[in-house]
Amino acid sequence: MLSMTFSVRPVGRSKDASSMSQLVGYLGKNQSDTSLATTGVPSRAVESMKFRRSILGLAILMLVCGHQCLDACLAAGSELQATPVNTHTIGLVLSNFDWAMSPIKDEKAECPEGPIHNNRENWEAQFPSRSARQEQLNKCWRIDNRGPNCENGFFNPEAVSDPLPFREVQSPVAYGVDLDGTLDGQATATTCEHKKFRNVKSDEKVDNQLFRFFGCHRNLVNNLFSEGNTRKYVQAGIINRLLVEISGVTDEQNSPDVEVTLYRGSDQLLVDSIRKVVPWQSQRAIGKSLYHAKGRITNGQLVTYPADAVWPQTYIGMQRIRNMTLHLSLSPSGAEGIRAGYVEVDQLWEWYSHFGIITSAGEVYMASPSSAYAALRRLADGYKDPQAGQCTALSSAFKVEFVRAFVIHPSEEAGR
Amino acid sequence: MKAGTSLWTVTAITVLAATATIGYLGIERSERDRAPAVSGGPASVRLISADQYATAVHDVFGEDTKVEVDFAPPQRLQGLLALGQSAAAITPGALDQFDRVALAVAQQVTDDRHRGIFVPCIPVSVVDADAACAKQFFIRTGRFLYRRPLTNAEIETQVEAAGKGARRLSDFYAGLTYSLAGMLTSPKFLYFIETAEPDPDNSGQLRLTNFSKATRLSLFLWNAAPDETLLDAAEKGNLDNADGLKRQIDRMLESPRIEKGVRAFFSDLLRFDQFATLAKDSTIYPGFTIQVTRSAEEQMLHLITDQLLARNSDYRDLFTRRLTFINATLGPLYRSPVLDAESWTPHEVSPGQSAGLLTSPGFLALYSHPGKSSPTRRGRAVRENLLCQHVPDPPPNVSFAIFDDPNRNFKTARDRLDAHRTNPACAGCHKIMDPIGLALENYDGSGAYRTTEGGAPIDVSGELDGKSFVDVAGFGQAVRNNPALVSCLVNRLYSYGVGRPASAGDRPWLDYETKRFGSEGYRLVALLRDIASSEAFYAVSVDFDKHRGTQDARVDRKEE
Repeated sequence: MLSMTFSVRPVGRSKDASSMSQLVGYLGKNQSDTSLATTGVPSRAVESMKFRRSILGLAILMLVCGHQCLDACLAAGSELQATPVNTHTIGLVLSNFDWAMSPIKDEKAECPEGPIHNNRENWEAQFPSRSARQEQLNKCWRIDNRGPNCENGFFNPEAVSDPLPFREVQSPVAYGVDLDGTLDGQATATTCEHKKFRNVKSDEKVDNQLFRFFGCHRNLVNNLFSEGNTRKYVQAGIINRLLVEISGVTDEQNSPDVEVTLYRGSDQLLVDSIRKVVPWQSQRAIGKSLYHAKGRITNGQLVTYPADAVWPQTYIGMQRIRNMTLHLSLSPSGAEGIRAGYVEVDQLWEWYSHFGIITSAGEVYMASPSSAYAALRRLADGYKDPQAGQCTALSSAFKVEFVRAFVIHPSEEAGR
Repeated sequence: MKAGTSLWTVTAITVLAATATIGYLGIERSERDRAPAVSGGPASVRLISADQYATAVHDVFGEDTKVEVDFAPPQRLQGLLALGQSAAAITPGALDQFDRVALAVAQQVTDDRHRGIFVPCIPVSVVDADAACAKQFFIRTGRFLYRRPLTNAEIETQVEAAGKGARRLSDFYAGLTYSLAGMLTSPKFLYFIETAEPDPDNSGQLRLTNFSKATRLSLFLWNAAPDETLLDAAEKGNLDNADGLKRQIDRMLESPRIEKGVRAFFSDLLRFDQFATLAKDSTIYPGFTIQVTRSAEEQMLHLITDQLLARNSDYRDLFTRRLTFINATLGPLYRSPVLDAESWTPHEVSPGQSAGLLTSPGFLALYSHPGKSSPTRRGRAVRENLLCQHVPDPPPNVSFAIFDDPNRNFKTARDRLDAHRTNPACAGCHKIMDPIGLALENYDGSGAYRTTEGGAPIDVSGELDGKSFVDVAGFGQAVRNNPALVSCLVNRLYSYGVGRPASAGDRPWLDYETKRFGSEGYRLVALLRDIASSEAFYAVSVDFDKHRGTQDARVDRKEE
């Protein structure tokens, strides 16, 4: 029989610094010492070095002060020791997620030429007469089998030439983060040339080529990607149960050195009577971490340093995100902000093509596959293949919301 | 060891055992002798409750029998629905419900899956009547349903009804179904009917029959009809002697079913029937969902059974203990982690913030308004439910003009109630309710902890019957030490058991029992045993009205 034990990472509650921290602490404690001591990953070398430093310091003090001074020194030391530096861990559970596809809520401005051309429109343009269309259907059976040898556009996009252009976002505003470090989106050793957006909430230049690609998929944006739809999936679905732990927090407004870890959750979210996720619920983490990065909190804003992640997400599944960074505004009951990073063209195309052909959604939601595939490759701005010079991933930004939660780590009991 | 030594040892042990037994029986006897005599009330007739109905069906026909009972509760008398059951009639509408449920149950009992289990014989023909087989079925089943053996005439009636049905429908089991449904709608099943007989030891007096004693005992301890062992004991007349009765009481107190009995009593005492209609304003308390309501009710019952059964601890400490239990649904309300999503986790409330049961979200939410707390409701609940003190209903022309005046800008409930008490017509009652309710103001209408209201700090200090307190823990202590807390429990438990309000004639015995409860450490199990073994519990009298005295039954009215 499987028996389980649990360890709980307390949320919003201070815990005393470890005994190791106290041991090294009463002479020359500094911030990095504390961080090491209380995040639970102390380096033995550092620990040993500090202990030796403490003893040495004490000896020097004895020589300088003499016995009379020793009592005072020890008293001062005790006082320092009695003031533990507290760190705690903030637990969060994902409560909402938004593809952030309509930042200015103005369809005309975002897509002045109109929405994307779907497969049928391209088929009609490719075979303008009724007889030509009938001939194509007689020969190739389906309208998406439009290649010269009836190749299917979803399976073999490069074999099909769409007569109509792919429509992408034209407006200059988007949610996002500056991922490439440039002001104008010029190519670098690892990125490809692209247009930058202006951040919705500031004048910062940001990258979000995923929005540029998807923004004119208006049916997708207004339905499957809509906030209401996504909220429903986050609250009721299994795949979107995501937990975040921010450890090493000394002060929720300013903590220079924190660690952020992402886990999958196993428990259904508790929601209240107006369908909002209830804060302070207990959520069990399962499996290994999906993301682990260092970060800092400044004026209540958490920013993590880029690290690769796997982010389970409705429609896409276990999505790989390269150089993911979280920019979250922390509040007493949760956090909200942006999850940014690069999403791989291959993975996006895999989802896009499967979704289009398996669910017959191509006609309703998707652009014609061949032009969509070409656009994905053209718009890719990150992770340049050094050999081909072609970028393999698109910059992206999603809005995320969390509520505070108790993250519980079930662990298998030894010797079961 | 030599044979002589061995003989001496055996003799000594035998003598010691005999002395101990005689001593024990002597103590028991002397306890019974010292107890004031009670003339008793009339033999009661109590309508079965929805819970008791479902339990009876499950006990007789198995847990997988679906019973969808939702009978209207009776009027509450002297603070208990159980007493209302003694005065409840069956309306035509209720009979329709009983009839529908009875037929549904009977059909399940005789369907293809179950007939092999519950019908103890195979009929000669399944398309015709079989009186012999039907008789076997009704003798066995009827004993459980009527809580006594059926008379020959009753058996005859059921067999005849089954035969008629079988012949008309050409189906033996269909006949059985309709006859069984008839039994399930019979007053003999729907009412717990006590009968008395002349007491051979006291000429001119009556005593309950053994089967009536069994039913009273079983309803008291298990909130269920007697099981087979108890019916067997009753049939042998074992409940008329102290030893036989003691054996059954001990057995029943040790059974896991005692928990169901204790839950039923406290659900009735604390008016948990109101949870079924408890609703909060979702714009003010969005977190108070139906799941929270259910968990809050279960949490209180869990707390009660843990304190009084699992730990067999002092009843009074139920109002001071800090240890409670939370589940995944209640965890957010306490801002505390719950390790196991499927079960209850012990949780210790911070010092100074707990008055035990009274600071459970269930109690706090139940006795609040939909959108705010209510010191008045909470105060009245403590006075009436726990201290057995009557609080008059508000006068019909009461004015809430000052209370509700938006221009007065009251920040806290204390401010509002202080202003309200300027009306002399209201002041009298509010004076006895409000200090209690205000002590619980650190908890809002959903049971969540708070320290301020309207931006102003909440003052929970006050006094209860002369005992001052500064925080809610102090209030819990004042409730714990209030003498009325204990006497109220004894009174309510006794009334609940005998199925009638306690009368003035019962007062000396109740006082005696209250003291005895104290000497036993205020342990509920001891109290249950004392009451169940007492002569007072089984006493019946035809002259009850003469002894009724001042405690006439009062139909509780709805609270403001």
